[in-house]
Amino acid sequence: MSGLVLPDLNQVPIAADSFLGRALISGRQYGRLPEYLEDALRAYLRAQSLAFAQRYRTGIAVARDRLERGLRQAFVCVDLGLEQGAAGDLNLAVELLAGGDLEALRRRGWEEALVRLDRMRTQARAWQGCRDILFLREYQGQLSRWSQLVPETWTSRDPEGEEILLDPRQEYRCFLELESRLVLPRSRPAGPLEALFSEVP
Amino acid sequence: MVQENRAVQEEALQIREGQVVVGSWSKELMQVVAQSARLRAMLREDRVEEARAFLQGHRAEEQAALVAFDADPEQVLALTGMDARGKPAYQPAVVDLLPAEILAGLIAPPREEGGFNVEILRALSPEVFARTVDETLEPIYQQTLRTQVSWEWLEAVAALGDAGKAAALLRQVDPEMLEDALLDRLETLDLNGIFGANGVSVPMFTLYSESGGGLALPLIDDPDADPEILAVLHLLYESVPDLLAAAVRKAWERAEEGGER
Repeated sequence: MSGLVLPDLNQVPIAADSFLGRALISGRQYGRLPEYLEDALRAYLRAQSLAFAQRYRTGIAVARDRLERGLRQAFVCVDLGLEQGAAGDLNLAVELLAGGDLEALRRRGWEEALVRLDRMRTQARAWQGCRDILFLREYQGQLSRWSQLVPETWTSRDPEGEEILLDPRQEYRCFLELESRLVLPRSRPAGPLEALFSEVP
Repeated sequence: MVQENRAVQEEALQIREGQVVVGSWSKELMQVVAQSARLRAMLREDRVEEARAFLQGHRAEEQAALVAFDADPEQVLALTGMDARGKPAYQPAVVDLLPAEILAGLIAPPREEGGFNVEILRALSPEVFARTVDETLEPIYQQTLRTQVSWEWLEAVAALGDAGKAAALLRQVDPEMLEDALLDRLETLDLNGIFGANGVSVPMFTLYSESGGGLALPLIDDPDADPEILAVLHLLYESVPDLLAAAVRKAWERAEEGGER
């Protein structure tokens, strides 16, 4: 088939696993959202997806993978922006959604994502040269990924050097988990563990 | 030229407040959707002659709307100029009214479907070609991507294999597009080399100088050069030597400035 092929928006998980999805379900359940809101959200995400694909086109025609990436990024931004704006409160989130200013939510989410990814990159680079991380070897993959992050594009490299797209929601949860687990080795009594470190290859 | 492109842009299909608008023509969006569904049903049932008659019974603006709304725009567009014997063709009056993004998708179908659809370019007026090129380049901020997309436009024009049509199309586009396209290909032109003919040797870049007007450009016969790049450059030599010389000059200046930074 020739021509512009937009990705199937039903594949975007506007479901209970996202804050936006939960707010939509809650708003729908209690009749607190305008009837047209979900259609408007889908149209908005589609427009954002196309704008992204046009901005990052690599050829005459827009590429399907760019459309998909744009769609995913727009969705994550609105989701994050809503969660931040409502401070995790679902009732307030429904109110914000009913207000219909999707662009304001997306912008807020974009800024939040940038702050998170930038922090992850800076911290991951600092951790890489730190001895405490030796206790948490299972995070090596993430550390390598985060230290190569490009916050503006949400991309990094996998071990084979291929470009990968990171989700600032899931990755940040993992980052916070690592950060909290590092509290323990950092609170250790310095003396007794020195011997242990000397045995670590 | 900018004003001309803007006028052409306003002629192209748009959706405004529930109406499909093409120039001064407009129709309710839902009516167009219903017609499109009817046309698609005919094609699904292989009633091609009926679909052709139905489509060609409408004015060009409405035909453009039906092309744009269909899931397979190329199939519908091929009906617009189809003759009674069933030979498909594109109607230039319809092609010129299509939105840039649809045209871009038609000209450069997905890679797995093969090369460029040069018949669309052949049917396209130079003004609409310029508008389409402008609209694909305008949202791109990154220079590397602008260079990549601009070069692909040149490859598409070169695929026409028609210097006359290529000249008509390229003379209408913003000259900066040519500069952008050539930024990564200056090496092939060997501008720092020496060109020798009839016992006279001159630095290669002087052949691209403003006074030369592109009238005596050296043909590249470097056996190591990429044949796809050569095909594009040769078509430019043949069709728009003056534009090529100016674009090479400016691209070279830009590349030098970039290198010094």
